[in-house]
Amino acid sequence: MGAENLSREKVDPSVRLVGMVAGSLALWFVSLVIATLVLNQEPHNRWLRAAMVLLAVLGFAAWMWSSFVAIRAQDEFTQRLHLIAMAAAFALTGLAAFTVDFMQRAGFVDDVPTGALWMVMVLTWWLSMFVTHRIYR
Amino acid sequence: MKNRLRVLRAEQNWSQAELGMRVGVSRQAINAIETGKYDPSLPLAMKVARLFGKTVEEVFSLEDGE
Repeated sequence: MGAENLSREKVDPSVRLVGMVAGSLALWFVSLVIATLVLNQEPHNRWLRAAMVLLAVLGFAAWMWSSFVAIRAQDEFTQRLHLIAMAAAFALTGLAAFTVDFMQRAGFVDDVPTGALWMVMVLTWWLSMFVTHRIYR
Repeated sequence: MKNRLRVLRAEQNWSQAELGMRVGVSRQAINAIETGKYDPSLPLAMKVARLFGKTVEEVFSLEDGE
């Protein structure tokens, strides 16, 4: 027990947080790949399909949760940067969804899968974080 | 909002990272405060002021028109 505590203290908390986020991101990616591969085969078993949905959602939720914990552990300035980046990502995703919606109605694009929405949100969040850090630092 | 953080820090011969460590924030946060890009919360402003043995008003002040 004592040795375990000692080895825990040696790890920089920020390194541990980065490791946790990276690990959960890898977990999400693996769960996404597995669920996509299985569902693409269109299995007849309803429980298997439900399990794949659960797997993908849990993978995503694990990454979201670890990101939340990591942000909570930052100082107030870094939390402010995250808040600005998330607000920008929310607005950009809304704008993208709205634009695609009307382009579909006008017949310029075919149906866009709903999966594109969360991908746009994640990408705009990362992009917003990069831009916000560049502006404030 | 303007502040005397850079001057006070220089008087103590502290780096931004050292000051940040003493008040529990990152070097980037201290830099953002010093350059006026970020206004600290009241608890952080009070921590900084207390660290230098000053009142909050002696470290931070409103600019004309604010």
